[in-house]
Amino acid sequence: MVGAGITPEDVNIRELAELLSATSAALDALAQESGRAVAIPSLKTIKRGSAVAVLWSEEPTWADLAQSFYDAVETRCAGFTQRVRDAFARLHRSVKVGSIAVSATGIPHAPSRPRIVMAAPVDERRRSTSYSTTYYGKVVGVNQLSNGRFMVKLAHMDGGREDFETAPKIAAAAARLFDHTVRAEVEMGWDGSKRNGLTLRSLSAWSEPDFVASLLDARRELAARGVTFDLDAALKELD
Amino acid sequence: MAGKLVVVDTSVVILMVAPIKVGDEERRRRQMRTEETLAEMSRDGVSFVVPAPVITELAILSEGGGDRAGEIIAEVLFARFGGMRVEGIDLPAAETAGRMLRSTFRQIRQQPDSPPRDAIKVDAMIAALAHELEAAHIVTANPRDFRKHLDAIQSPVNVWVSTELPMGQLRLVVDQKAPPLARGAKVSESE
Repeated sequence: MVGAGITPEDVNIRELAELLSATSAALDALAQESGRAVAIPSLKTIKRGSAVAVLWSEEPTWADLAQSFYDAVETRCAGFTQRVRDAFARLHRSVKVGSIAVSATGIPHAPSRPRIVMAAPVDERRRSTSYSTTYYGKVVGVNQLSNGRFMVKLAHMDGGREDFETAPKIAAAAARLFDHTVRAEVEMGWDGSKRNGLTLRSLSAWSEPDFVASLLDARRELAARGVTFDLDAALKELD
Repeated sequence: MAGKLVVVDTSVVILMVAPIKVGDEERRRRQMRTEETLAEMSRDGVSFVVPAPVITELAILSEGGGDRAGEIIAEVLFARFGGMRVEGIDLPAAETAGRMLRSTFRQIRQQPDSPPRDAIKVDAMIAALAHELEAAHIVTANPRDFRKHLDAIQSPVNVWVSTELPMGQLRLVVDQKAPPLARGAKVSESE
């Protein structure tokens, strides 16, 4: 905790407890995001003459977690999950005097990271961002709601079902393709962890081609055209 | 394996279609193993998915070798991709790729001798798409970066090296593979 003349005596134990609790919650959120086991650090030192708390753990995942913690502060949690952002927002609020500054030093196999002052996480609270994608599945329902809107239910080839609002013409086409596999252009909603169907833009009947036969067919055509090719160079280029 | 998705990497597509000179037994063997791998998966009823970044990599093959060879290969392949299941990088996959690369770049920063390669980003997009589609496998001849990317987010997607297994043993290995982790094990869904 940095600020002119701040010492451990300026932080009462209630604030200190909240600071440590918020730090622990931030580490939990980071560990969960990355799928790592959480390393629970101990308070190693509280230095006099400043309000510096040194956290350290012998757990093998601590080094990565500490680096992630620093990254989250450095980027103001941009690109991290909402849970991480919420946890760091709590941590940021937990300090009543001065500000939080973090540095990362003495982490095995990692360069030291200089002290930076923590700012509040950027506000990326999601309002179900929409995106377009291609949806492969079966038409399993076509309905007109009492308010006149048309809904089409698709069962994804890989599991799960979604309802999509659509235009009357596309709903009619969907009805004709009932129980058939289709390739559909759709808009989906995404809140950072869950998808939901929004709009069906178009659909057409689709059947899965024989992938292997298609590639073998391509090979035969290339051979017939006398194409020669440096396979190793191409593979190396991809590596 | 029936009903499962298999995401195909660019290296596999190239290995499958590249004309091999007569007498080049080593490359012929790798091609045969790849062909056998895909045929076995196909017999087991998997669905193959071609990620859109694979199309990008195929399109730049023209520099790969020979006079216009890459360009002709891309042209011949693209004519056949129309009916295939080509999946673009959508928003969830883009975010997942970012998480994978954040971890990868952190490792790279710690090893100044291994500068980042362009292919890392493309491979991350392919791996992220496989993860978001909940694919059973990525099948590839270049497993290195895929494993790193998938490990970075503890993804249950397996990396299947198309050229490694001797022919005739594939079914045995397929049956012995542990099933992928349950859907609930995904990092992104556990929040």
